Amino acid sequence: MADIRCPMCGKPNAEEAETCLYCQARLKPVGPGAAPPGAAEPSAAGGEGVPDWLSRLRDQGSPTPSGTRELSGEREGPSDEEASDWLSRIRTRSDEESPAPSSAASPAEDMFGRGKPAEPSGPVPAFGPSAEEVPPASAATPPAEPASAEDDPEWLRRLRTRRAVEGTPGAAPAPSFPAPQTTGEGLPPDWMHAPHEDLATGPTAAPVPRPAGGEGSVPDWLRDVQPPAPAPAPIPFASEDDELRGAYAEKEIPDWLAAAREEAAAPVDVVDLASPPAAPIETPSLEELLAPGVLPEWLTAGSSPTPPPVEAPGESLEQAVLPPWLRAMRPVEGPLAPKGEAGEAEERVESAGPLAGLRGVLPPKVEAEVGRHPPVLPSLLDIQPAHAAHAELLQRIVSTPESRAVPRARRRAQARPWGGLAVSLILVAAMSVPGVTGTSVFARPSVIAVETLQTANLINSLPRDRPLLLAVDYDAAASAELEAAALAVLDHVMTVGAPIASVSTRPVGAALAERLIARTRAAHPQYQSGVNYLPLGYIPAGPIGLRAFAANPWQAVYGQSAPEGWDAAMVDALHTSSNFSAIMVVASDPAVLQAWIEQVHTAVPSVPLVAIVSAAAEPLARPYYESAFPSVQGMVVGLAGAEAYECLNAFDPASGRCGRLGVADSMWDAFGMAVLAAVLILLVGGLASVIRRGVISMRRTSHE
Amino acid sequence: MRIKASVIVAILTGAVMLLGYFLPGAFFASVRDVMLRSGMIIGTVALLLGVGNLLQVHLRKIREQRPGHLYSIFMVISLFSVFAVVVLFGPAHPYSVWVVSEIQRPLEIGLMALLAVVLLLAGVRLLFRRQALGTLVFFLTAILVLLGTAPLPFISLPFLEGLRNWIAQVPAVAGARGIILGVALGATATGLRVLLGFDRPYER
Amino acid sequence: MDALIGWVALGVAGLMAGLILAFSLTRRATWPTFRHMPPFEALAVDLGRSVEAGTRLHVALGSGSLTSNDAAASLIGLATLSQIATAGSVSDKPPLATSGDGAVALLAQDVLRVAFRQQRAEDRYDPLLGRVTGVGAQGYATGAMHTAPDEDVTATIVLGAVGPEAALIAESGARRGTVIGGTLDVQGQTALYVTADHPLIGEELFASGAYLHVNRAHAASLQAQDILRWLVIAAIVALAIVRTLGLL
Repeated sequence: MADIRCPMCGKPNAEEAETCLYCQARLKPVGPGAAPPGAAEPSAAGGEGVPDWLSRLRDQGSPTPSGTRELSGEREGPSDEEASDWLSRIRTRSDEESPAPSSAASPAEDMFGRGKPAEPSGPVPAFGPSAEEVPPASAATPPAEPASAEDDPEWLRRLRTRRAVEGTPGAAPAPSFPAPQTTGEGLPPDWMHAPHEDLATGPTAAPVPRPAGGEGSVPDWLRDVQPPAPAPAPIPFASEDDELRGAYAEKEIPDWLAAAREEAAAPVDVVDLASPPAAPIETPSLEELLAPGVLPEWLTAGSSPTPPPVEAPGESLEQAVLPPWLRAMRPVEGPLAPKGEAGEAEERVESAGPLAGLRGVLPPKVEAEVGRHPPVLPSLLDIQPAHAAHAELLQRIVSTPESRAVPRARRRAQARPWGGLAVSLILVAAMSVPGVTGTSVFARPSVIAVETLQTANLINSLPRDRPLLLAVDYDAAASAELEAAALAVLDHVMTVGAPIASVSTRPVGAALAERLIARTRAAHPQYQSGVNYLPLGYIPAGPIGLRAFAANPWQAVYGQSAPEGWDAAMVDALHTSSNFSAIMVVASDPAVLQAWIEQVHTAVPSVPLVAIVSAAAEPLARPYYESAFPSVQGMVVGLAGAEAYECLNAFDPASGRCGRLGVADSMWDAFGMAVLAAVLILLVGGLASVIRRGVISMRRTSHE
Repeated sequence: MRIKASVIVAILTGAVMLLGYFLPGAFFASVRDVMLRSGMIIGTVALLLGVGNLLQVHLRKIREQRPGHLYSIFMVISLFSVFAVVVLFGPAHPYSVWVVSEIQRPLEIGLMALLAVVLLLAGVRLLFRRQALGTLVFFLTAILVLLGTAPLPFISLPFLEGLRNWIAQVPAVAGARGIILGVALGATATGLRVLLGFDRPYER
Repeated sequence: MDALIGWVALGVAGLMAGLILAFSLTRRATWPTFRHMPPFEALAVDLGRSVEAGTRLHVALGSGSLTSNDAAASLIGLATLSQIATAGSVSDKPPLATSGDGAVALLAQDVLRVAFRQQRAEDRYDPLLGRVTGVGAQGYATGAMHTAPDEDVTATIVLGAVGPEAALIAESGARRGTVIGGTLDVQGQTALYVTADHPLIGEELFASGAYLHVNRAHAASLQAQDILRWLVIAAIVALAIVRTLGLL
């Protein structure tokens, strides 16, 4: 089922609907010439007075909740199409018979209620394409009473008579409501035209321009009818006549009009407009029409027998006074102002509906609601080539789908656990071979490093009345490497018989020191806690604590009376850091050795310092030993140094050979196997990486 | 410009400590000693704060039952157990020493062994990921040092040992000294920024 | 001799302080141009990527304390954290800072809180974004290793006092995303050179504040370091020549 578009809001409604569901506008007029109820809304919003006739027509019936209008109960008149047909037939016949009268059209009200109030007897014309202008809105006047047949003008009666004589067949049918024309044919009579207000420039009294075209067959009274302004595009108001028809209450329709409708309802043959009429139609002259009392006053107001000279629109035109609400609806000046369309809207004459003949009527459809595409505005920017290139690049970036993706972080292949597993198995297997096979194929160090010898010499010269400060400053993770060297040196110290005081700047250092002493004490049971071994515990705050320890060691670690059973002489010696016979720092972190040197040794430079460090810390510890003013008097480095020191401890002068009973010696073969396996892994793996990289590069090159 | 009290205290404290190293006099020495002992106490408290923060993290993980909260339960139980043993028996007691020797030490040594595996794998991938002259020099130097450090089976190559000693004592030491000098300059600049009030990590 | 060394050190410190003041207080409107450093550019990329993807950044501040020799590295890490937190506070998962020291963890919490407050996102601040994962170097590394998979980390930034255990943290982070690492410890630098995608060698760690535009003083101190570095080089060369010639 075809939908009907509301002339007010443009929304589709069912075909059988009487009023619009959205804006309550009348979809099907009750009678010809009635304005839709919705048309009253804009004018009502503007506050200006709506002509009584129009408001009366709009108020016909009250909108029901369902959206339909209740008619007044009177029989609904003929359809809009039928009403337009009879009028168009009249017009056509008039054009063919006599020219349009030269008199100006009577002023008529526009859809906004401007102009003279409608006469009660006069019908509200179905406005057609016209170049006339609508007079300004005037105050609303009471609607006129519908005229009776006795009040019909003479010309109308003559028209009816003629129709009755001619009969239905052969009579010139009213074609579909014509679009705005330029030739003047089919134009409404002059009396239907009234100066209307130009929406853009205001009201003007300029008459309608004389239509062009042949005047031979046009009745005199129509000859002077000014043709409508040419419109660039035909406005299909013909098809929208039904939509534009307002609701006319049956009681408001004059009898003459109703009768004419009935006559028009009869089927008629289409008449070729180009062909001359079958019989001339006698029409009254313009003077006769303009005689007082012939035509309604509202039709003759403002008209004159002779058409005023045509003036260019806009020149010497009196500026119309627009109501505020109408002024607000005017298009804004500027690029968005549809100037062309405004011009078109001004020139377009309504051809159907109650606004027929008015110029500058807004189209029923709000184009914005229909979804018109916004106009393409000319760019006023001065685009430089660089800007255009950037814009093009940006467009290219945005349009490519890859650019819209969030870049994912590069992750390494996690699915390679076999690599770590393989390396672990190789290392474990390598280290297990010497222990499993019981072989020892790795040569022991044959040369003892100088720094190791110096350490041994220093230990040999330690006094027995002053304690050796043992700083166990390594983590449990490094104990596997450092314990071997520390045990070897401690064994030498205990052999010499020097008392030992242990301290640490690590929380677990105290426990590791206890482990060292416990393992070494097994071979030297004379060492007792508090007698010749003083565990001083933990020094917090790193270098700050060492600085405080250097100032007063006892106060830094205890600050109170000594534990019960401790040797008093030994405790007294601990009140001054210069009382230490030597400082032996066991560290895997070169920064720890640096802190001991900078915070403690600088305070007591006379106390020799020996460093037992891991192989990784040697590069940073050696400068302190090889300096012109060395801060370290001896070093034992890593497992090799421990192996060498164990040799020194177990050296047999008679045979000239070293004993191999130490921890380092037990680890030596496994250490050798592990290092060789690591070298093998690095060489093979590195070579494989290089080959793989080369293959990938070759593939990439071949693809390119 | 309004200067906060914390900034003034920080600047004054740093200035006094620095001047105490260079200027003679008992006043600066005594002030410095007081500040040193205060710093030791703060360092100890910071250790306890770290333990407290650790506990807070794992308790929340347990409370919210996040993935791996079972390990957090075990961690909390271990923490309180060891804490109780050391508090009750002392850090030098055989029980405390046993915890360190038989539990903590093997765990950390295992972690270092894992580190060795990780470094080996990373070294193998290094040539693939980063092809540069420095990477090649690094790679070759690592192999030479390893060969010079470890004993060789059945044979003895003094040349490798000598090369290793030369690498460790000449270019490595030179590079390390340069890094240490740069680090010292950077550390000095960092400390001066705090002393001059440009950096205020203590300020809210 | 010790007194001479002390006065030389005081002179160097005074000269550096003067240079820092001079560079900080003059030409405040301009930022000096430094050489191209890919790690900091990668940091910016990773930060943006993590915010976009709704993942987290892990800033490992190491196990050093403020009272140790590595305090400078911890302070640099905190300064970098402030910039990272300012930019990453708008993310669904804000940056996370781990440390092995309680005081550094507290400062990290403070830095994060200030950053969130500056970004008007204080309600999204969680104190445990600055946390201790373990006490001591090994304990910290053990806990920090699991931060990347547990907290949906796609970028790991190691800036602080770490040793060779940094390789474990970096390897764990590399399985999830990129790793940027720098430390003052030589062994740590070696480990990070092998495992990190963008290692910072030597004292490049101290340049992070200048490259991340923490404040003008960081750029000034970097300029001062460059000047003093050239002075030290000149002094070493001159003393070596003098010593070689037997004049000293």
